[in-house]
Amino acid sequence: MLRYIMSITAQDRPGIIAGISEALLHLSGNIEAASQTVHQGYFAMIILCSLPEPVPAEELAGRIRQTAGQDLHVYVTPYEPNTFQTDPAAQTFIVTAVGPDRPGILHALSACLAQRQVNITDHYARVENGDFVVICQVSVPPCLDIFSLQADLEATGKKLGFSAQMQHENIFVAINELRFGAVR
Amino acid sequence: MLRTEEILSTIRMLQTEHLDVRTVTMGIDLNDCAAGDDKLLCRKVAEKITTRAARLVEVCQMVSNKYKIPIVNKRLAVSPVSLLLEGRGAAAALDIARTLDDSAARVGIDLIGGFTALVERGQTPGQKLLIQSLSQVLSQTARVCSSINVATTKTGINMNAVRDMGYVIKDIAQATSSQNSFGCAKLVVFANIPPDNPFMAGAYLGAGQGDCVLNIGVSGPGVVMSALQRARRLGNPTLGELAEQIKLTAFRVTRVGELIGREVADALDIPFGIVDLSLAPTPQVGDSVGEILNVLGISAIGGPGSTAALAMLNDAVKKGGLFASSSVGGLSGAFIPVLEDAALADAVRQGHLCLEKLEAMSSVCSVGLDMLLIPGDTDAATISAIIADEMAIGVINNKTTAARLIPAVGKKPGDMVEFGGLFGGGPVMPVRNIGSAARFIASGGQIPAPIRSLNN
Repeated sequence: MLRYIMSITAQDRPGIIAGISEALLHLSGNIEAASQTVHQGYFAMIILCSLPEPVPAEELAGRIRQTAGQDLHVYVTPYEPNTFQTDPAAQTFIVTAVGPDRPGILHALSACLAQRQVNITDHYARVENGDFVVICQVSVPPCLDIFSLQADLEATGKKLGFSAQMQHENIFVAINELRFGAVR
Repeated sequence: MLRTEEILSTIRMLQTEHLDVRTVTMGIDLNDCAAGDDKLLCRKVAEKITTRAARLVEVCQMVSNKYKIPIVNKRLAVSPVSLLLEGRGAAAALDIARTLDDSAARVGIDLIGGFTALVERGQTPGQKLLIQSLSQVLSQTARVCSSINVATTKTGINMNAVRDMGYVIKDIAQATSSQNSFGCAKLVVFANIPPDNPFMAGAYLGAGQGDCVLNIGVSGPGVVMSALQRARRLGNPTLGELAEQIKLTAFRVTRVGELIGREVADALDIPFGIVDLSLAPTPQVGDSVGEILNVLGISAIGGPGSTAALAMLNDAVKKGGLFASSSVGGLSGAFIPVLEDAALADAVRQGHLCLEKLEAMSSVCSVGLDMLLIPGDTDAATISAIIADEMAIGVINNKTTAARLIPAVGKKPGDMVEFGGLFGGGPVMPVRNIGSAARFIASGGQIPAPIRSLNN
């Protein structure tokens, strides 16, 4: 069993996933995990699949494009387990930022987080009427001083003319989700 | 990840719609401080308060930062001080009050409630002492708040106590005349006082609530108003649909309170009590219950429709809160404190909102005739009669009602008084038919408990 990670980008249309999965099925492959989004009219997907026989990465990409469409941009690499492990005691916070759009915002925020080894585990951004919105789900290790990180993010925002803040995810869960234990 | 629109709407509630945790109130039972010697009693009271509440402000700050939600007030509520006064001399009341005042200051707390007596049928010596000391205590301490329960649905109304409270309120007004009779803003007269209300001035630690407990008051008239404005912008909602919107918003606001409350309680290692979801306005623009009535379609608050609109608001708030938490308590509804709500104060100033209509509105919402300025020369019997009316509403309808009346010395109807901060300001309200209940009040006695069936 050999596993591959592939990422596919294309202008969105019906039939992309049907084509990809058909190509993998012809190779007796099994899709073990997948995640997909459509953003600004483009389809993007990441797949973990396993094949019974090894196939060179470039050839695998070619086969997918042959079946699913030459309009697909396909990148394939053999899967290797990640050596970077999230600290099991890490807590999830949500960083939000809004303000007038300009170059450098995402870089400023993400650099601020990276400097403290805070990993962004999910992310969303959009621009509307000249204003941007950024939401980052981040994983904060327990040893980190969250108050100084909050202060840093707020200061970063101030320097570039936008507002940024970080809050523990519990508040969003408590307000929006109907689930047992939402307010502990 | 959580849905992005939910995250953004949560941020909006916190940042622009004035969602906050209005109060974190630590209840502390002082009955184990009883001692033969007054000085020893005061030392034990001081020690218990300063020990239990030592980290209250600091922990609130930490949890507030974690969620970027302001915790506006940190307060204390103690067991009825009248219990500590049994068997003591007159000086003990002021000594204990000063001890409460100092202890609160030492732990960074601005108001401490519980200078309380429950006198729905009669008064014990300790309770008499407490009531007699009120004008001294409320003029000579800054932080102490008092509540006197004069009626319950099961017992009826103690009209002797109601008669006494008219005089007491006048005395307090006189003793604090240099501060526009502000002492009266620290006293609430209740029917059916709740044992777990976290809001001042009526907070006290009721019997059976434990030795130390944390109660939370959330608020959010601004959040409710914004949600209703959005609903109106998007279409033509009916009153039922608006009620649904209020309910959903109340749900969210209550969840915030419970989350914050439980974390503060855990961090302090004390039991979590209740979350009181009350729409408690502040004088700040956009933080008004009156404005909610405007958005519901009542252009003159105090005019026809005001009671119905408020009834709908109060009920929807309770329903949303009840689903959000299994620990809802206190008052949990809409407050109409005139001085603390810019739109209500303005409605009085313009002549739309009168005392009689406020009384009617109090029958369908939480609290009652709250933070009301009345003319300084209103006689004690009339003040007692106003209180009696409010107590009757509570007793007959099996709900909490209260009166916090401020007969500001030297002020006449229409005069403006400004207390500032969260206490706000507003006009003195006229009182009609002054003196017409003199004989009724002078009769004293007990208005009996009402029948509970045949309730038409």
